[in-house]
Amino acid sequence: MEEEIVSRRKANYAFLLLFTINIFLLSANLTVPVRTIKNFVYYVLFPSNAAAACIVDSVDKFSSNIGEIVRIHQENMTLKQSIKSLSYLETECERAMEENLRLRSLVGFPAVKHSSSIVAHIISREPGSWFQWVTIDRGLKDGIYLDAPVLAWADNRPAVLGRVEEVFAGSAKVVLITNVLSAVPGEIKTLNEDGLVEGQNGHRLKINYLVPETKVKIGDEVVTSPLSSVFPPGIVIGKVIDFSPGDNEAFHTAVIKPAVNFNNLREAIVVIAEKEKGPEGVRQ
Amino acid sequence: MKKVIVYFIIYILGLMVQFGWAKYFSPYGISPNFLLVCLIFVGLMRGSFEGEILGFAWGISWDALSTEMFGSHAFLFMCLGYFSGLLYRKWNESKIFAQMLLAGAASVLFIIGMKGIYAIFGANEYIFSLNYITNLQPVYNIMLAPIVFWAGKRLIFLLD
Repeated sequence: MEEEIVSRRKANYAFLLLFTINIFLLSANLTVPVRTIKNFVYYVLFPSNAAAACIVDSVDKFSSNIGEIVRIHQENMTLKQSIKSLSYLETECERAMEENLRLRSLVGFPAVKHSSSIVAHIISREPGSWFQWVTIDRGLKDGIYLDAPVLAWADNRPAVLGRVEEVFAGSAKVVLITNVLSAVPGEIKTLNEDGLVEGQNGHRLKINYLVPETKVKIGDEVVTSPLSSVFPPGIVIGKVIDFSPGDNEAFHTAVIKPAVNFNNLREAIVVIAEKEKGPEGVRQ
Repeated sequence: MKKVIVYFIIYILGLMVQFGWAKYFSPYGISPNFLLVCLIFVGLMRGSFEGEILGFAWGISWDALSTEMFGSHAFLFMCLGYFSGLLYRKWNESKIFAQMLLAGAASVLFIIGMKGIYAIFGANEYIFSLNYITNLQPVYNIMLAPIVFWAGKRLIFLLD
């Protein structure tokens, strides 16, 4: 009985202490000391998270590798044929790019920003925040920076996945486009009309601020707008699946089905902007 | 010392299951809050002290690994661990109905608590929105509770 009273007292004291710590963390949310604590805990925990992903990956790989060998052989033969036909196009493209750079410098247009990409594995995804964020296994040491655009492969082309929200030495957290806090300037491709694509914390997006005269229809593709400061223009976001204009609204909204399958995320492509290539890069 | 090591293993395993493996049994994102159910189990079987310490550790880890409000999970898990521990030796945890009832009640309280914390401390920086994933999570937790209790009771002897 006495032991139980002592134990209860210990639990009560611990509760008071932890309660105070929690209230401090919540009140001083993400101030410098709290951010330091958060980063420290993340660094300590990251290996366990990566280990869990590694175990799953190795089991997955073993079973899929056998089938992959046959598939890759067939794909290899097809790709060899494609390379032959594409080599001519590549030369043409290079020539057009040089000409474009030269002409841009002549008329005084700003130089084109070039970028490279890094493929990262998605190593952590909390199911309760399924459409909100993921963790990838690349970070600062790989050249990833805050707000870097993150894409995923969908239907044989890159599509918008999200942007880097927090970056650490060997990992980064990506806020998905479906997160309710995410907003990306988008463009209805066929109409060249801009709007703001917003997440819903679910498997659908919405595009806002479409003018009342818009002729948007179901099936129209939505891509990133040149107005976006994060994403390169023309990257596919998804397709309009619902649009019902109201009569008295200043702006209309449409529902979009994202191009990326958010239930099958394994890899992500992080786009790294390189230094601007000016006219001096033009070969004479 | 043995007890600390076992709790540490439970802590690491819990995080690995929630953050590394839970996605493989989460159709359409409808997922269990595995840590919450485990926490209720630990609180009921071992008392408030163990429940609140493990709850705080899991909660602070969840907050650090996610982009959600730092301290929110730590606060709620700690409280749930403590209050489930108050039922230690007062609740017949061997009845499946009791396990499911407690897991369901804890899940609903967790969502209400989360909504409250975001409303008080979130300002405009953080939003906790209810959607089909959060709404269906208590149902998933209720179904998961008997499995966690069944497996947990077979492993709990390691602590004795």
